[in-house]
Amino acid sequence: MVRLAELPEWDRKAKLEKVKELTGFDERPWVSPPPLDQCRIAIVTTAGVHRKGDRPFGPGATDYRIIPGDTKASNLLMSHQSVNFDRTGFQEDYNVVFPIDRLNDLARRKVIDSVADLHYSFMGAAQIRELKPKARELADLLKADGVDAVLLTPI
Amino acid sequence: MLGRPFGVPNDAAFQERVLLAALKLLAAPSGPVLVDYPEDAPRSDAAAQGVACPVSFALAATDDIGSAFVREVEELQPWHDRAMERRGRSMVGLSKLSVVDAAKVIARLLRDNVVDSIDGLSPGETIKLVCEDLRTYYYEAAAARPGTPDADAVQHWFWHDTAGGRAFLALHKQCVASADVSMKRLCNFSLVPRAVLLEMNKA
Repeated sequence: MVRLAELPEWDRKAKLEKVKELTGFDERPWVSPPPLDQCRIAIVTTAGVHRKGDRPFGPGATDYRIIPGDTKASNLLMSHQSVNFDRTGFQEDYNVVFPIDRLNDLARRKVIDSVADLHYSFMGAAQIRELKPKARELADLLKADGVDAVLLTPI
Repeated sequence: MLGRPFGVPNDAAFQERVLLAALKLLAAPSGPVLVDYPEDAPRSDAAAQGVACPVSFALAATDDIGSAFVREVEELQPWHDRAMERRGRSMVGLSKLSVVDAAKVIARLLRDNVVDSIDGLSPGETIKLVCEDLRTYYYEAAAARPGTPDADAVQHWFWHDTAGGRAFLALHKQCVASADVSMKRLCNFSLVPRAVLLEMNKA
């Protein structure tokens, strides 16, 4: 991930402003998952990635798209609303954003236990707090899939 | 560089190191945890050498910008075909239009200020999908040439050296002046990168 110091000043300021919208941790329990080699892991990205044929993300979208773990690279698109980030890396290799192959590598070598069947994608150019209802919905779906930990990948 | 949270395309070893560093944070006894990743992402040879994108097209003086754009999209096709052969896929496809038809949508908008809606979307949402496809097409085509240019070179090439970039900038001006809310939103956030606008304003 890019370091704040490497961003242009206007972009750095915009990112730091967003921090103010985040919820605090004061009343949140710190949950320890099982050891890594017993963890089932899912990806939740805010990169606006989805499958061909899925409805593209619109301005301010707060809903999510489902990405089955066996989705082929040729079936992935990105409809993020922001144009202020590089897309050529994703076009060349989706793992720079959605590292499903890397997770599968780790599962094959038993570094992690397994990879979830389903992964999820939001479009990050939305009001953070407006994402909460769908995030709660997602938490239940992830639990139903037996997921122990989530890899959150921003863009 | 924003847009590459796991670093470097086709560098599985680096991606895995970033991924493992993140996953190992799960073992922290208390949180929240905020840790810098110490390793810089490797730069491509092209980036280190400052290689410019080699694709370039001479624009006929008589062309209007929309016509030049459509012609350029047609002429880029062999390079995009090479990109498809190498990668086995393309990330063009949001608008469900062919790229030539997508360019014609932009040409018509520039000429007649008319947008034919896709799937009942607003004019701004329709143009966003069309522009995303076209930009992806250009960037994928640019990556097909020998001596693959880095992301900054591709962005510079698109916005400074192509009819596509000129068409997008003209479209941006048109959106600024538009009375349509969806078109205004498009130009504010989703059409031209802010870095490019700042650079153009300085120039």
